[in-house]
Amino acid sequence: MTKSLFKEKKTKLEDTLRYLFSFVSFFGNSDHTTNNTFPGLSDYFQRTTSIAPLVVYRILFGAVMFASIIRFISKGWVYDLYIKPKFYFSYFGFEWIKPLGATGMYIVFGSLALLALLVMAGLFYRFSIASFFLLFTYVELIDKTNYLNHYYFVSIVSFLLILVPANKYFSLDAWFYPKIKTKWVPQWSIDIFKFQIAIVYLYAGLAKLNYDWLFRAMPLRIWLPAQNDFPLLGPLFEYTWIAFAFSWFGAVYDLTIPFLLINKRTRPFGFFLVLVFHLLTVSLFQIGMFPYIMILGSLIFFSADFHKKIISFLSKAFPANDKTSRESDTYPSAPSLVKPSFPQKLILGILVFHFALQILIPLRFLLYPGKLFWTEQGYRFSWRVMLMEKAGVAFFYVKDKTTGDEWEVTNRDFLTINQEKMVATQPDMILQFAKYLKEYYQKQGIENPEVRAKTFVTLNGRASRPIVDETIDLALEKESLKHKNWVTSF
Amino acid sequence: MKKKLYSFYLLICLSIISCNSADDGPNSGKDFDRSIMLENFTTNLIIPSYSNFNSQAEILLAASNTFNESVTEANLAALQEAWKKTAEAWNSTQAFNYVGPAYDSSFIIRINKYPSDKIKIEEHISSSTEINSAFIESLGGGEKGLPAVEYLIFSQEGNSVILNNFLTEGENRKAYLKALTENIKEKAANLEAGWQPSGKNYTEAFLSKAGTDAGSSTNLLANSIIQAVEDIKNIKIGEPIGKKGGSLQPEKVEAFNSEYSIDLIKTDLNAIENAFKGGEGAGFDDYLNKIDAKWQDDQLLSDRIIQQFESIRTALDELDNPLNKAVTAETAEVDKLFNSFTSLVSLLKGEMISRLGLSVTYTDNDGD
Repeated sequence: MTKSLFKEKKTKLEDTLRYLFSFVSFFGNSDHTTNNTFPGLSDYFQRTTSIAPLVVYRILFGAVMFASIIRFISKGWVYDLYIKPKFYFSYFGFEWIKPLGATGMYIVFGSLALLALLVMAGLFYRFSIASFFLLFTYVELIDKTNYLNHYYFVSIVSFLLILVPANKYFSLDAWFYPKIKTKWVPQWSIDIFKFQIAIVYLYAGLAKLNYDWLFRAMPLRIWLPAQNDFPLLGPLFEYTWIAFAFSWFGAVYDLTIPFLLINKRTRPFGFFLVLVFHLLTVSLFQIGMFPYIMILGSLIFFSADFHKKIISFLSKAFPANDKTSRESDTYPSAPSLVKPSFPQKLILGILVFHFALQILIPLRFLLYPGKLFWTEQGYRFSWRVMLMEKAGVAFFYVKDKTTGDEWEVTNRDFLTINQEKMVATQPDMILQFAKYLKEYYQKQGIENPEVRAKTFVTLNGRASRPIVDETIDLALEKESLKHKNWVTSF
Repeated sequence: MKKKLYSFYLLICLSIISCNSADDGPNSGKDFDRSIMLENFTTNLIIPSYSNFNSQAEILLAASNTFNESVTEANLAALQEAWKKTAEAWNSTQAFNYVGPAYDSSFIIRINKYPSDKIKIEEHISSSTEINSAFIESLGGGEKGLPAVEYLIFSQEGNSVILNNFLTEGENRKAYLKALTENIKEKAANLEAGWQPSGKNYTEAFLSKAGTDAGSSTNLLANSIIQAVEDIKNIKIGEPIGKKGGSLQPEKVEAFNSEYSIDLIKTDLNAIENAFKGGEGAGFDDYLNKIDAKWQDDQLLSDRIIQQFESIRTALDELDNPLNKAVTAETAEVDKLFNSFTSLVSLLKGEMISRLGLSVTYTDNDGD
C-alpha cells in the first residue's frame, strides 16, 4: 500500500520533472536535429553535445573574473568595503560570516584572482572553481550594503560550473592528464547556463512590468537627464519620450532576448541587441563589469562550430596546445547515449533543486503584504535591476530610559558613506543598525537604551515620507524574515 | 516567430518617433547646461567669497596691529568689529569649504575650530616660546584661527577685562594676537589663490568636470552645500543643545565669548541658500526646475527647499537670547530650530540628490 503510493508519487514527480526539462531541452535543441522534440527525461539527460561552448564559457568566465577582481582591488574597494567599516550588515541567518581583517581580506582577494586564472586555464579545475565559488560567495555575504545582482549572478554561475566538466578539453588539466580529454559532454551541462541566463532576463523583464516603469518612465526619467553630456545622444536624454522609449525597450528586450538567442535564425540579431543594450548601459551608468559578463555569457547560446572556431583561434595563440587543436579539426560523431552514473544522478538532483529555487525565490515577495519597492521585503536575489530611484536620509535617536536624556546619532561615526546611504532606505538595515546602536550604548553603560529612527525616503521622484514608524523603539524589535509591521505602508 | 519579433521591435521604434513629435510636456525645452552653472559658481560666488574673506582677514590683521600699538577702548571696538566681519566672511564661504583647496587642506579646522582651548592658549602666552606664525601653524585647531582671536578680544564679563589683560601682561599676549591674525591672513590668501586662475587655479579642474558622476564638480558642490548644512545642524546647534551624547554643552557654541553665534548661523545659512540658488545666476534651484522636479503635484521641489530656508530663518528670529543662553532658556525654540534643520538636510540630501541623479557613492551600482 505505502509502496504503491510512493510509486505513484514518484511517477508524478517524474512527470513534473519531464515537464520542467522539456522546457530546458527547448533551450538546447536548436543545434541538434532530432525527431523527438520533447524527449523523455532520462533520454534528455543522456544526450551529448560538443564540449566547445562550455570550454569557451569557462575561459571567458575565468578571464572576466580575473579582470573584475583586479579592478576591485586596484580601486581600493577591498579596504573601503571590507576593512574600513566598523560594522557590517550581515544577511539574516549568516551573521556568523565575518570579514577576516586587512591581511585576511587581501589574501582572499589575491586567491580569488589566482583561482580565476586557474579556472581560465582549466588547471585543478574542480578545486579551483569550487574554491572560487566559496570565497566569492563568502565575500558577498559579509555585508548586504554591497549587494549587487551581478555578484549574485557570479556566485550562481561559479556554482553551476562546479557541476560540469568544463576542463576536459583545451585545458591544462587535459594537457597534463590526457586521459580525461573528451570532446563530448552531456547536453544539459551547457543548457543549464542558457536556462540560468533566461531566468535572469525573464525575471528582470517581469519586474519591469510595473506602473512606475511603464507609465511614469521612472527611474530612467531621473537618470537619463543627468547624462545630458553624453556624446551624440546626450541632448536627447532631457526629453521625457526618450525615457519612455528606453523603459519600454528595456522591458521588451529583457522579455524577448532569451528567445532571440535560442533561435538559431534570430541569434545574430539577438546578439546585436545584447551588444547595443549592454554597451549603452555601461557608458551611461556606473555598473562596472556586469555588462561584459552578460555579453560574454550570452555567447553560450552560439553553435558548437562557432566555439570551435574560437578554440582554434586561441590554440594558435598557445602553441603548447597545438596537438589538441589539430585533433579538434575532425570531430568524431557523437557517442551513443550514455547512461548517467551515480554522481551524475546526484548532480542532476542538485540541478533540479537549484532551478526550483531559482524560480521560487524571486516570487517570495508575494508572501509579504505592502508594496515591494517600499518595504523591500523579498527584493534581493530576484533580478530586480535598476528598477527604482530610492533615496533618503535616516536620523537615529538614542534615549537613556533611566535619565530621559535623548540624543541624535552621528551616523558617520559608525557607518561609511555608502552604508549610511543604504541604511536610510532599507527597513531591514535600519533595524540592524538600531540593534547595533543598542549594543554599542549598552557597552557604554546605558542599561536600557531606546533607539528610534526618523526617516525621509523618496521613491521614484515622489515627495519623501517616513519609511518606518518614528515612535517605535527599534531596540525592542526582533530581526526575522517575517513581515515588519513597523514599516509604514506606501 | 522571427518576423513577429522584428515587427515588435520596429513597432517600438515607430512609437518612439511618433511620441517625439507629440511631446511638448513641461519636461521639454531643457538644455540645462551644468558648465554654465559651474562657471556661475566660480566667477560669481566661490572666488568672490574667498576674495572677500581674504580682504576681511587683511582688515583684521591691520586692526590687531593698531590695537597692539595702542590698547584703547576705541581700538578694541574696531578690532572686535573687524573680527565679526571676518567671521561673517568666513561663514559666507562655508558652502564651498568641502570642495577644492579648502577641503584638501582641512581649512575648516585650521581657521574655525571651536570652542577655543583657553587653557592651552593661556599656557602658550605665559610660556617663553617665541610666538610667530610658524609656531601658530604647528598648533591644534582650538588654539588658533578665528576662535582663538575671539577668545583674546572678547569676554562675556566686559571689555575692561580684555583691556586689562593686554595692558598688564604686555608683549606675549600681543604677539599671540598678531601671530594669529597673520596666520589667518596667510590662510585666506592661500585659499583665494587656490581658486584664482592667476594662482593655483583649481577653477580649471573644477570647470572641466561637468558630469554627474561621483567625482564630478556638480556632485562635489552639492555635497559640500549639504555638509555645510549638516555642520550647522550637528556642530553649531546639535552639540550645544545636547543632541550629541544627551547633556547640554552651551560652551560648545561658535563665538561663545562674543555671543555672536546666532548672527553667524544666519550668515552661514544665507550663504548656503545663496549657493543653492546660484546667486543671481544658474544654481541648483534652476537645475531642479529645468528637470521639473516636483515636491508634490502642485509644488516645485526648489520652492519647497526655499520655503524650508525661510522657516529656519523664522525659527532663528524667534530666539531672544544668544545660543549659549537659549540652550537653557528657550529649549522648545532651539528644538524647533534643530528639527527645521533636520527637514532641510532631508530635502537636500535625499530629494535633491536623488532628483538630480547625483551620487554620493563611488562603487558600482546594480546593472541590468
